[in-house]
Amino acid sequence: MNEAQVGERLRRAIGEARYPAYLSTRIAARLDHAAHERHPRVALGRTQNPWLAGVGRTVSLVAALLVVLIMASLVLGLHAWFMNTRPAVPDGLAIKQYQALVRADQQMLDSQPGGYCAITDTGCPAVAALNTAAMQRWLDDLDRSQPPARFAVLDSLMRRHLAIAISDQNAAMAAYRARDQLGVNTAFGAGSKELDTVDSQAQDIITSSPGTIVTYRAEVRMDAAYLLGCYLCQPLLGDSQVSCQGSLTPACADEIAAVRLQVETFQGDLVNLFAPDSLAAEDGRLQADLVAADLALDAMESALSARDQVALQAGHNALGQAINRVASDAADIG
Amino acid sequence: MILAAPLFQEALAGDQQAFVILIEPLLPGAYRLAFGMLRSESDAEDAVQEAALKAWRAFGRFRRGSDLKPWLFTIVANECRSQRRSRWWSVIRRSEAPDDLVDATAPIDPSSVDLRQALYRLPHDQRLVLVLRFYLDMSYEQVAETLRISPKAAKSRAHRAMERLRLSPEVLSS
Repeated sequence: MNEAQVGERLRRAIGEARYPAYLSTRIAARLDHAAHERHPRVALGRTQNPWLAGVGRTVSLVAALLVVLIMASLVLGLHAWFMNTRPAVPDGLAIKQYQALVRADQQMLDSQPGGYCAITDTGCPAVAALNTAAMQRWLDDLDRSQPPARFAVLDSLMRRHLAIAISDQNAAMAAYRARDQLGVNTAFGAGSKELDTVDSQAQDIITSSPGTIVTYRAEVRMDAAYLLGCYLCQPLLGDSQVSCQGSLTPACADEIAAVRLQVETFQGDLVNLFAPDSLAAEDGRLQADLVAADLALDAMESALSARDQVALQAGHNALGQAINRVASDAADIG
Repeated sequence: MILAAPLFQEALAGDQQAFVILIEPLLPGAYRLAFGMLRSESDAEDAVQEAALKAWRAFGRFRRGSDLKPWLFTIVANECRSQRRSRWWSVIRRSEAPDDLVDATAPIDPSSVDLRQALYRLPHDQRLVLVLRFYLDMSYEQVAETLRISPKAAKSRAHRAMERLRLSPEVLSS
């Protein structure tokens, strides 16, 4: 069978696509509303508890102080690390090996069976087990590997998201055993969003390429504009006090998720189109400050789970400082 | 596709309308790609919408002078990967069997059914190369540009996929 015959058979097998003429209008409307959309990656389990200041104030103050100290030392350490580990000559082989590893694990996960998991479906646990095993293998591969300096930040983010996805998958199976269809859907939905993020980060790594001064600057400008102008992020980025309290915990988690999406997208973009050597020092500072913002968001999430208002405010202060530095770094880059 | 300079500048400066005008001529192809990958008109529509949103977000990274089509199609293909996976974690009950996801009104060619099943069992990358090459009639150079691999690698990936389809018992029997 030659290529033309294969082509003919494939076209017949797939069938004809009927392009919906309204698609561009829908896309225009979608873009118009994009700034107001909520990022769906909100782990429901973390948004159920009402905010209560239930921890002693002294303990909170000590904890908050510790969070600030730990984050400050991490930022300083990371900045030094970025400056010292950035190779003068790209470590080509290691980079290619790491990209191949990520690509292989992504493909392995892609090739797992799928379908809708109904609580009446007896085949569901077996399929879920295959998917969990594939995610765990990816995580194990990342844990065993030393990522090239360029990919270290995304490596750490991918591991975090994979771990959460596995945990969501396990939660879905627990709900399945309890015959709780809503619980199954919710947990799989949350896991799916985590994997979407992993996918996007993996893709940034696999297709990573050097930018020119012009393209790198344009990228930084655009990402900074998205981060600073993000509609849903404004309650966290625009005020010095955390506004989400009391019964507004879900809103607080949403706001954290919205800022995290912008920060992680920025981090992914800096890997996907990495800085030219002449801007390496500025890029190092920017990346270190984005990591600081990410750590501050971690601290805020932990504080939210622990219902610790003081630690939440401390995390918020650290986030504000980190974002201010990111804005200044981006302005320096031009 | 050569981009009109003022439109490009306007889109880069944040004009969403200019961006939609830029990508509009590519949308039928993008939809065809998504349909070929996902088998469902509604999923294809969702994938193209999501991809357009992501493309808009990433437009600052698009290099002026490059071809917009492979750049957009790469994003659509990645979105199809996510959509396909999301189906497993779907929160909407799908009562249809997987093969019912194709357009129910389209005439069914019995000899194509087995090939269709075999095609959708291929890994994402192999199916993608076949859809780009044969369903969208792209040259291997264009396929390579979309997949960000060499034309030689694109050709070899397509041949591996074709070989896998031919070796599939369902295809042989039809």
